[in-house]
Amino acid sequence: MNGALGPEYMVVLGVFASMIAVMVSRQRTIAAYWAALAAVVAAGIWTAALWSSPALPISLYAQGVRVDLFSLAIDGLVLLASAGALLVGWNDARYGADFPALVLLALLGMMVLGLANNFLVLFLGIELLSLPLYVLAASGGYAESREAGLKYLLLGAFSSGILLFGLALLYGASGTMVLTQLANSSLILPLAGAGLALTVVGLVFKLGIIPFHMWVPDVYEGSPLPVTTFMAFGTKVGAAAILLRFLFYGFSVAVGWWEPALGYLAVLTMVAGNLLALAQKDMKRLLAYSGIANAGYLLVGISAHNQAGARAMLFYLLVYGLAVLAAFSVFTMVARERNSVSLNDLTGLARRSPWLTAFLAVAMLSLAGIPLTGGFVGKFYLLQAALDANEPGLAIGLVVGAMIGLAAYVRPLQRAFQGGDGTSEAPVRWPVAGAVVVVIAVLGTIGLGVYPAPIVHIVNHSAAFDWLR
Amino acid sequence: MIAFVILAILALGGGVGVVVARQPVHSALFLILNILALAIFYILLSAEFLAAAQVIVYAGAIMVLFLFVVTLLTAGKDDAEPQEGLAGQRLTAGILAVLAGGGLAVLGVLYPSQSIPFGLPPNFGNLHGMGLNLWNQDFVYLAAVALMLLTAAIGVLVLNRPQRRQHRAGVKGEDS
Amino acid sequence: MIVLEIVLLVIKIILLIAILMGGFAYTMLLERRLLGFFQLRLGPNRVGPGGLLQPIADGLKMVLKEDLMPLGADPFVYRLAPVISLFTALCVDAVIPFGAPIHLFGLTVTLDIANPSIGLLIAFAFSSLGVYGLVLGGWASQNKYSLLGGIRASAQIISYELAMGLAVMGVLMTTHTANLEGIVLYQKAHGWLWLPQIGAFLIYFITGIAETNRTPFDLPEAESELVAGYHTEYSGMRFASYIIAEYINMITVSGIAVTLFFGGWLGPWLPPIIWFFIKIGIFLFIFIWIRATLPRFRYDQLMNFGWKVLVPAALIYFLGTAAFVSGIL
Repeated sequence: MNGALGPEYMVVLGVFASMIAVMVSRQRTIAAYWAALAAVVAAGIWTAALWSSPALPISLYAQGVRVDLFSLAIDGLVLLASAGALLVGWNDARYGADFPALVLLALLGMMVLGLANNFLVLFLGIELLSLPLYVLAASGGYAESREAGLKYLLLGAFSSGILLFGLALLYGASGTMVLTQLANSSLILPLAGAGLALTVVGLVFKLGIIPFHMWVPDVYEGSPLPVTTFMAFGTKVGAAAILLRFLFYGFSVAVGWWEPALGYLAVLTMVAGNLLALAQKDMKRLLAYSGIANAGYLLVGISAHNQAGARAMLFYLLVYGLAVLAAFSVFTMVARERNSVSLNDLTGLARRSPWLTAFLAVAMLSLAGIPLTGGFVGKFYLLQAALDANEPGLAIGLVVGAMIGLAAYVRPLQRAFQGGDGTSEAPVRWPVAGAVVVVIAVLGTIGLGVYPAPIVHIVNHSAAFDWLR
Repeated sequence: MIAFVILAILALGGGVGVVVARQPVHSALFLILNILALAIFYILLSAEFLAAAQVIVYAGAIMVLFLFVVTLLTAGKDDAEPQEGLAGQRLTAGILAVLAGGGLAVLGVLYPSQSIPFGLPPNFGNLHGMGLNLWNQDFVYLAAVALMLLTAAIGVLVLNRPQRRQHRAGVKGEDS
Repeated sequence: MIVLEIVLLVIKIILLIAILMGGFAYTMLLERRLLGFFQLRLGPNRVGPGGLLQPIADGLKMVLKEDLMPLGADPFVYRLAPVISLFTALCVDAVIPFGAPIHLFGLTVTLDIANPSIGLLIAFAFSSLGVYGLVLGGWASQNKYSLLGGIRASAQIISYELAMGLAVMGVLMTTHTANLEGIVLYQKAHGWLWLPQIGAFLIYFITGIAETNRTPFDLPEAESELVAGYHTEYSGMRFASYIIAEYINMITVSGIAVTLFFGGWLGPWLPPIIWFFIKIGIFLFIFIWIRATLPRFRYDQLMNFGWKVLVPAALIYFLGTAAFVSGIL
């Protein structure tokens, strides 16, 4: 064992600690949050300690689980996502004392997705990620939240069914459940092809790729703000990680089966997602469509199918996540008691709270891909990977999508600098936890744009798929 | 082989019945038929424990809860078909589903896969073998499922939380 | 040889059904007479000597009654429901060993229809299906009292089955087998299990009463609130099916309790099968005694008792047994 699953154990302990804290502590909610945050930090420290372990990669449970630098990188990303979500929703009575425990459970699902090396673990990871999110989406207690939860549950269950059917066909066609053995087994074409198609559909549903994106805007809009933050960052990381692992480990010999399809989906998603984002008035819906478009960018890294693509995808996950954390924490502060922010709410924000507007601007510009922000560097790497793979179509799609996206992201900024006399509404209050998130996220975004080398170093190590170009 | 065909017909018939039946209770009954047919399949595959678990868990517990809700909700309702949002959408979906399923079945028959390379482990399918697997190499599955059930339990608490009088500014609630 | 086995099996099945039907008839008579005595009256004693022919008269009456179906009822489900009840009730007994294997003309005959390695689970599987008869009957009658009875039955049985399963699990761990004959043989070697598993036995018996919908857990057919609950609309043989199923379920619950906790057919001097019937008879008497003594639970009390008392208690006893069996304790 030698503690290879230590981060996961820490998170499980955190779930129990958080629930027990709710039971025994007088100040129920805050204790639960502290317990959960402590678990996240402990898991993070353990992950960092494992990073330099010479024993990697470690396979456990009959190769069902594989701990390597890739899974550790995913661990780091999702830990960041859950820490951000916890801080954005810090001690908010609206979400109840169960919020931290559920976030940790979903976090565990994401970490399991990073580790998965066989079909069952893959499926269990997907379900472990989804179940708490269904509950969290519905936990707001108002009609839209219930609607979001129900929609997510129904469509999620449907996609899980498709995924499971695909996995069953793949098992029937290959006789193995282990991803790393899948490449060596002689795949029989029609069945394995059908299984692959169904499995990929199930996975890209979770990622929110067009045309499997219908649930994303409604669910993001209805869910409470911290939950949306977590979904936008964490779910994307988990789904992208498992998609990459599934295809790169299991089907790297049969590239022709999936690469073109994913390429077309990526271009469609990038262009259409950004176009749809243009028309949005609600900020959560805007970020939902932005999330769809960004999932398209991530898909570029996967369908490029080379080491550069995998690295670029990991790097872009961090960039995107930081921008999303910054944007959502700003929106949470602006929204205050309410649960949504429209374009109108942003009017005159620059006068009311100039710092907040600056932070929002950094986040939005990073999503749009302006130089000196992480978004630019991330998109640059993706572009490079697409060109390396000799896929000019992907590159063109990426650039076109980014250009459309720029217009969508600038609209809220334009509104923020417009109108308002600075006295009609009180300046926005800064909760400490939210401020911590927004400052760290913004500093990270700018840091990645200016000096990406350390992260690039880490990413290069973790995406070391030697059998690729 | 004869048993297989009979059971397959029963299972498929149950599955089709779930979709086709107008009354939700009838759908539930067809689903139970499907579940029981699958349980007998497991026995044919000499996975006795799985068969018993299938009946106890699915037919004995989950479907009873299902019926509990369905009977409560559908009592005295007429079972008229609701209006289709898109004309002919169900028919199209049915045809597509049959085509896809039939296509897969034909492909599966035309290109049979190789048999699973490892034989049955000792104690396959009975309590002993099941337990050994679950607590050794498959423990990670057990743990994951346990945590899922924990999630479900928390979910029940969260979703059934008595509604607090919360400030509902900005929420367009019609019940205010 | 194979023909002989099949013939033997058929004979055993017919015998089992005959025994159960006879058991039902005379349990019912016993109940009516005993209830009479408990309430300081005589009970039915006119038909035959001491009322012994009363069940036959009752049976004739049931067969001759008109079979009614309400106008709005769902015909198929309405007819199916009592059949499910009776069928599952009969099936459970197929795995219970009624006595030690006997040797007949050079053949070893086990006194059960089937002896699967997971007999206990099979018994549970069938008994968990029995509730469908109640729920569906209540629903198909299209009558609000019937419906309420059916809904109560499903909620009650789900709640109590959990505790029942947990309680029985302790026996399973102690004996290392789920085969009912194996469990009896274990008790032959190591002593009857009711004393070491006293907690499990009490929980099993309480939940057993609830599973058979007997007082004080007879909420699905509570006559003071719901007319007759799920079988309000039934008459004739369909009604009789429900009653037969209820009494056979009593016999089954007693039989499993005897097998798991009281050594099955084990006992001195008398033949094994007689011992088995004597033990079942004692349990049936307790069933009737409880019915005559205790008032009915209120619905919320029933749920609270099930979820807040029985399930945690069963879980704790289960964990304790696990610790004991694994040698920690």
